[in-house]
Amino acid sequence: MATAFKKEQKAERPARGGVVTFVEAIRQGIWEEMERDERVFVIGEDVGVYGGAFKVTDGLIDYFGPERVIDTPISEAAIVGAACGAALMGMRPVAEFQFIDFISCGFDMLTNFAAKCRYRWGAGIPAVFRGPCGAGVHAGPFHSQNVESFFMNTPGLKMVEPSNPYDAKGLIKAAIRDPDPVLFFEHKKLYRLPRLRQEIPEDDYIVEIGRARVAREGHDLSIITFGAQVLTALDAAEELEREGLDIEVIDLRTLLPLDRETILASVRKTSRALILHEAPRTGGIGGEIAGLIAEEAFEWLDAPVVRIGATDTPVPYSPPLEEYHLPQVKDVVDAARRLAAY
Amino acid sequence: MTNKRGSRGKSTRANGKKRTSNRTETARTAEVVDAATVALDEAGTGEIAQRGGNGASATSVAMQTTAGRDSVHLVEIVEGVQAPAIDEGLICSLETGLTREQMLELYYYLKLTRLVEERLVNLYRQNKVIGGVYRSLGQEATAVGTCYALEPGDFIAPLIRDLGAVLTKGIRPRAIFAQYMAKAWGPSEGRDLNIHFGDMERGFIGPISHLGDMIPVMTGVLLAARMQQKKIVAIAYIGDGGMSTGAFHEGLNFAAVQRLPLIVVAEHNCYAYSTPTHKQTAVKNLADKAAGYGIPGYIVDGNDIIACYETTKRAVDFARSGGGAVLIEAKTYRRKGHAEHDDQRYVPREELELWEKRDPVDRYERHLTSQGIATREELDQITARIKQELEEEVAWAESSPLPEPERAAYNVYDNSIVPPAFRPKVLER
Repeated sequence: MATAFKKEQKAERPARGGVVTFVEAIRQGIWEEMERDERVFVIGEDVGVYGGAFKVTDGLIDYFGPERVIDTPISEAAIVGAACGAALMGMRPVAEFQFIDFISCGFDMLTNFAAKCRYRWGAGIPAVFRGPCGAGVHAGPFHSQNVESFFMNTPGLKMVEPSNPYDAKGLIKAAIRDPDPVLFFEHKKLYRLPRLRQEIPEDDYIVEIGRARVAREGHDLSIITFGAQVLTALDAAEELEREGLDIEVIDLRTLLPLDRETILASVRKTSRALILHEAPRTGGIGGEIAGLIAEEAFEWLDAPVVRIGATDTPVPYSPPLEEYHLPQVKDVVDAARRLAAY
Repeated sequence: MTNKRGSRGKSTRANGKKRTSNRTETARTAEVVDAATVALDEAGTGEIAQRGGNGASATSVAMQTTAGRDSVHLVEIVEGVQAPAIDEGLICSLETGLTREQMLELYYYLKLTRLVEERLVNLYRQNKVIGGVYRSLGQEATAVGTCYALEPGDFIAPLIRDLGAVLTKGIRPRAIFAQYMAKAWGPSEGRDLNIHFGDMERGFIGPISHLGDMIPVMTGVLLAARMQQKKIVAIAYIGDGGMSTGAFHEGLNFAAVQRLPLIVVAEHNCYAYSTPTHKQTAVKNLADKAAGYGIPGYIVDGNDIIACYETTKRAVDFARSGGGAVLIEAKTYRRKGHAEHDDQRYVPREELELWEKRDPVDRYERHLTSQGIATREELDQITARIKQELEEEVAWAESSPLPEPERAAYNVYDNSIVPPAFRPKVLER
């Protein structure tokens, strides 16, 4: 496909691979896909000259030009709708929500247009809708939410949330190449977290959507989680190891469609399941996973399935309130001990 | 001849080309509101007669001059509902670039739309239509006339009452019948209703029930086209009700900012389900809203198919040549209820009777015959051809089976990647 605009190539392109942060991995992924495929473009608020609120799209406009890095009005419905329309025309839009909390403003376009087009008339929407999610940075009720359960009940959408740079790059590239709409959640606390810095390959790679990962192998208990809570689970597992408990951690990576096989295989091995997520517990996707385990692995269970989530409140601003609201390592350790002793 | 000219005339600015002479000979098809003329003039494509409101309780808008006569029909717009005017003998705009063949083709699509819907009502009464039937009776000229101004590569996003636009885009009636009857051979294979499907080859983006959503989608279609160096334009249809949505605003604002060649046709048919326009909006004319987006706005008589075509053609040329988005308000009227079940008890009888006299099909037939463009016999032949065609189209649709139940599981995602969503087996091993 011929595109109308030449690369301006003022900006230096980022390195391929190397030791990177979470945010850099996503940026590399988008950059490489834009280089590889002229149909890929970025659209969102302040994604151009400013480079996005978290600098995920930093430098893209200088390299690819304003026609492929489109700044929009504050109009999430227009961003989602325009991405859908462009995707119908064969383009591969990557739409950014400045904070994933604002996805609610594009909810109708996502759930009623994007999610249903293929089903209704065979028109796939190969678009990515990405943005920073998650709490723990004292950003209050409107810049901290986790929205996966808003969309869990909408067949037609895919949902992805990586927990480390390798997966983030591989999954964003897979999402851009996917023929269906993908919601891509990036926990903002991970963007520049030093402990996550990681060497990733120079060569092109993807991480397949729909596949969970065993983040840590163990035999006594499965913690099923995703996103930033993978770190909480791993920290808890380390602490529990000192007590002689061998914890398995499943990093879901894809939330819709769920990787049922990996979840069930783990639970059938350990016979104990603890589901951990950062969104409020009631109506969170933990319930869906617990239901799956109850139906499909009941006979393997030695203990009730336990869910840990945030309290059923909005995300509060003040640090002590927010800490109370969010699941902590201590909560996971306590619950795991009780589960193991059951 | 007299046109009521509003006191806002002073804001009509220096439209150097404003027409003052011999309006009867040069009956314009379009009116344009203030902001519009500014934009058009700046773009050098002015020459559009302009008239604003008169500031009184009733706004007078000259909807259409009758061709070659010394009279101008005025339509009083009081609180959004047109008051009586003399309609007998009304024909269509004389000024047109359409050839005789094109005018007959336009008649074909207009009559086709009317007859497809009549046939759908028959099927509905025979319980062969599964859902509701949504008529565009009385407003068919808007959909057909505006869509006819597009080139084959251009795109539309219709509303439920834009069957005429869908047919004009080349969708066969059999697809429509199969959709209404929920048949397997329909384009959505029974998964969605009526004109809720699309055809990318024919430039038809399938709409959803959520009004306003198609404006942002068409903005994206045109953004993509620009990146792909395709010189296409698109029409997104909206109504007096749909313009109240947030998506409409966001989409049109974005299209205007990006100067995309989007033509928004606002079908002012006076009712959104049962809600009259004056409960939807406080503006006198829907086209007044164009000013809020910095784009041209036109008002056209939506029951004059030639005027609808000509106005849209001008907007299409303006948009295609880089002028950006355009809002066209087509003043028309929905003569049936929201759907067949709706008995319209909220509508005064006189209002319906008045608009029956303004029937766009009758009017176009009168136009074609009185102007010597076609004889009554020629029109009857076209009608007979359509009726015969529809027999075949309905027979085809009726011969389609209903879909296999299990087909419900397919096509949620690309099934080469994610398997179909079959009903899961519970406690079976």
